[in-house]
Amino acid sequence: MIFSRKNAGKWVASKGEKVVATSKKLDVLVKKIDARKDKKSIRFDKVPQHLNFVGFSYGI
Amino acid sequence: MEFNFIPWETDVAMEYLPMLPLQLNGFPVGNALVDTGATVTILPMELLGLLCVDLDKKKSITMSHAGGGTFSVIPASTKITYCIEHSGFRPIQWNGTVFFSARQDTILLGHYECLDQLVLTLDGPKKKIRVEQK
Repeated sequence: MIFSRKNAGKWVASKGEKVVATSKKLDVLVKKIDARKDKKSIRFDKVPQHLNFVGFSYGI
Repeated sequence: MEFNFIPWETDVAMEYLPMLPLQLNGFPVGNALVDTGATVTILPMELLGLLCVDLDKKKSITMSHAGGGTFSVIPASTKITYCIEHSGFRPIQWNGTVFFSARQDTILLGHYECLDQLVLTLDGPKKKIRVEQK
């Protein structure tokens, strides 16, 4: 599966390498997928929008 | 178990992220970023209802991030079950504390009760991540 630019900021449901549905809201996407017979093989990802992955620490 | 890095199309170039396919409390949350700079695991608040856990708001903590800023995270009131599956392998499973943040988009796997349970090998040139549980 590819985190594509067109899906940046959205939740995507994928099966293997293929994106089968997208939505800005996770609960909406889960409902869409719930009717599918193959729902157990579907995964949900949020596609990152920004180049902002950084570490963080507890200590305050 | 070995997984390919996840391709991420950015404005700059195609990047490749070391991520692990996860189930949390049985829900297939997809790919989670291995963040070796992170102290704890942080989840988007949107996942809270789907994982069937409550927040322990009294134990909210403030964390600092690169660049000098701070943000708040709230732990789940109970530990959740992490599971990594790969065909042909016995699932890797363990329990740990997770934290939620309203401002977090991507699942970040940190050390506390998560990465410290695993043996991870990053192969940058081949864009692969290998994971074992000891």
